[in-house]
Amino acid sequence: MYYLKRISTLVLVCFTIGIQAQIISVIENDKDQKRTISLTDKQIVDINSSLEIQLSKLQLLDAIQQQFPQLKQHLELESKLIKLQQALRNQSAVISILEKQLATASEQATFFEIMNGFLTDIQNDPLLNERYNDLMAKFFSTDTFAPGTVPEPYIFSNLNNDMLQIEQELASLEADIYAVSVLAFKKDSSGGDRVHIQNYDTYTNRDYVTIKRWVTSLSTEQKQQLEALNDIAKQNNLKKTNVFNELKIKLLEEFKSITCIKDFKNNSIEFINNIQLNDVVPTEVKNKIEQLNLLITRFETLFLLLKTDMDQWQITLLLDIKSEVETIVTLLKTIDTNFSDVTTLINQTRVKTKFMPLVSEFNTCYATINKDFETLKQGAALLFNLQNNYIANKAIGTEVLAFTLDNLPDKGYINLKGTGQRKNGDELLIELVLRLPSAVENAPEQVVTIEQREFIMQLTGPRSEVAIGLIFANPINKEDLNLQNDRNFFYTPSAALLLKFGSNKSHFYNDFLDFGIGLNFATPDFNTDGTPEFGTGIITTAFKNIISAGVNYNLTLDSFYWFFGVNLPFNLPGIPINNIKN
Amino acid sequence: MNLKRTTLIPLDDDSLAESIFKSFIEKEMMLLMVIIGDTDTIREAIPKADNLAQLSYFKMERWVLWVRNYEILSETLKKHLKASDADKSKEDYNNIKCLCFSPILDKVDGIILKNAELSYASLQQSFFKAQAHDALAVNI
Repeated sequence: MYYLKRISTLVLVCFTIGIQAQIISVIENDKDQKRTISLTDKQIVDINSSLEIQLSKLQLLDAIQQQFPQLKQHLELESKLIKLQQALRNQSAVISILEKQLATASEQATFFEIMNGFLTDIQNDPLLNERYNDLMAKFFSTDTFAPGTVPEPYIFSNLNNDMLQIEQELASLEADIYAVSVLAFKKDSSGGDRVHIQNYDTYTNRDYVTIKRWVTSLSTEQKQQLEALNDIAKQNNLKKTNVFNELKIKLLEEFKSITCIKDFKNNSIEFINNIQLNDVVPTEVKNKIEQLNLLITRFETLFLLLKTDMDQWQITLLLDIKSEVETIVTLLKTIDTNFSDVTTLINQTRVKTKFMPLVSEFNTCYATINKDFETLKQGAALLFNLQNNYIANKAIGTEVLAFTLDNLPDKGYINLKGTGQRKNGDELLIELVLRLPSAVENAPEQVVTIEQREFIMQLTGPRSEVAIGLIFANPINKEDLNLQNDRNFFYTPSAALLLKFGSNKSHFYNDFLDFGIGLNFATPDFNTDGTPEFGTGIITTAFKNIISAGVNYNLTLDSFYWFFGVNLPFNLPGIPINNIKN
Repeated sequence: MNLKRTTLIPLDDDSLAESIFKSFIEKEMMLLMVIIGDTDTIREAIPKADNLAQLSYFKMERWVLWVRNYEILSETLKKHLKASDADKSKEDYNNIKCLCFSPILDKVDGIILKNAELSYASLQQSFFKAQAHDALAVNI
C-alpha cells in the first residue's frame, strides 16, 4: 500500500511536470471546428487545416529560469511585467464603461467579466494581491476617499506606474540579454522546408496547395502544372547557385593585386641580404627587417590558403572565409606598422637612399591590396546574404523575428495550405528557441531549443484514392463457364476507386492498417481468347493497399468471381506482382 | 470598529435575526454580502467589506451582514444556497465564510470558502459576481 501511494504520487508529480512543461499549445482549425491538441493526444493534424499556436509566457519564463539561473534578475522583472500586462489587458474597456452615465446591460456584463478576470489574476499572484490590498487601503483612507467614486481608475493608474518603473529597471539592465523566436519546419522525404508562422516571422508562404480529398485521377493539367513547377524549382535552385558562382569568380578576378606583394617580398629579401653584410646598419634594424620579412612570408602563406579556399568555396562554408579574410586584414595592418618602424630606423642610417624605392613599392602595393580587400569584404557580404537564404532551413534567418518576453505575441498562425506540396505522413516541427548573444565577438549566437512539438500531417476524415494493381481472380461458377484453362486463379490487372479514412487519433491506423473500401474495375481473360473481359464489383483493401479482396461481376461472361490481391511494395523474383501505384 | 454599511445580526434572538435579514433581502437594487463567523481573519475582513460596501457600480447599493456564528440564520442561508447554481454553492454550509446575494433576483453567488483569503480582491470579486448574476436583468 505504501509503495502504491509512493508510485501514484510519483506519477502525479511527473504528470504535473509534464503539464507544466507545455509552453506551446496548438489548436487545429479544420472546417471551422477547433481542436486543442494536447501532449497526451496523438500528434496528428489535418493536412489542409490551419493551426493556432499559443504560447504561455509564464511557463516559458519558468522554463528559462530553470535552464538559465544567471538570468534570474531579468526574468523576475519580466515576470512581474507580464503579470501586470496580463491583469491590465482590458483596463481601457473598464474605464470606458465606468465613464458612461448609463451603461447597457451587455456593457455591464462585459465590465463584470473583465473585472472577474482582473481580480482572479490579482489573487493568483501574492505580490500583486498585496499591492492591490495596499492600494485599496490607501484609496479608502479618510484623506483620499470621496464617496461616490470607484477605485478602479486609481488602482489602474498605480499599476501602470508600476509597469513603467519595471520597464525602466529592465532598460537599465544589460540590453538584448536574450531573445525568443518561434520556428516551424516541414519535414518530408526530400528533406524539408521552413514554414511561415504569422506573427512570428516575415517569411512568405510557399505555393498555396490544397491536398484534394476526392481524387479520381491525376489530370493532364495537373501533370503539366506539376512538371512546370518542378522546372521552376530546378531553375530557381540552379539560379541561386549560379549567382553565388558568378560572384565568386568575379571576386577572384578582381583580386589580382597580390602579385605586387610577391615582388615586394623578393626585393625586400634581396635588400636584407645586402645589408646583412653591412656593418654600418645597426643590428636593431636588421632584426626589424627580418621580423618584417617573416610577417610577409606569413601573409603570403595565408593569402595562398585564402585563394585556394576561395577557389573551392562552397555556399555553406562562408564563415570560414570570413575569418580568413579578417586574419589577413589584421596581418596587413601589422605589416604596415612594422614597415613604418623599419622605415624610421633606416632613415637614420646611410642605407636610406637604397631603401627609398622599397618604401615606395611597399606603399603602392599596400594601398592596392587594401583596396582589393575592401572589395572582397563587400562581395563577401553579398555572398553571406545568399548563404542565409540558402541554408534558411538550418539557420535562423533574419526573417525569423526575435522577441523579448514582453513583446512576444501570444498567438501565431500556420496555414498548412500555404506550405507548398506535401503528402500524408509529412511532418511539421514547431520549435520555441531562446537566442543568447555569444560571449565571443563575431561568433554566432547561441540557440537553445526550449520546447518542440512535432506533428504528422494527414488528410483526416474521408477521402478517395485511386489504386492500381494485380489481382488473383477466381470464378465462382467455373463449371458453368466451360473454361479451357484448369487454373483456379487468373492474374488480372485492376483499378480501384477507394474510400478511405484518415484518423487524427491513431498513427497505427494511418501508417499501417489504412483500410479502404470501394469500386473495383478489372479486365480478366477467363476464356483465354486474348480479348480482355470487363469486370466490376466491390473491393476492400488493408495495410496501405498491400492486401485487397473483393467480389466482381464479369460483365462479358455474365458470372461472378472473387479475388484477392497482394501488392507487395517490392518485387519478388518469378512472381509477376507489381508495386502499388496510387 | 467604525462600520458604516455593516449590520451585525443578533445571536440571541432568532426571530429578530430573521426579520433583519428579511428586511435587507427585500430591498431592491441592493447587493447583500453575508460574512459568517467570528475569527481573527473575519474581524480583519469586516472593515474591508464595509469599505467596499461604500462603493456603488451602476447604481446598485451594497450592504454587509455579519453573522457571527454558524447557527443563527443557518436554515435560511442553507435554503438560499440550495437554490443557487453558483460555483461552490453545493459546499457544506459550515465550510463557507462569505457569500453575496444578487441585487434583483436575490440569488447567492460569489461564495468564498473557509480556506480562501478574505482580501480586498476576493471580497470585491464576490460583490461583482453577485451583481454580474443580475446584470442582464437590468433594463437599460
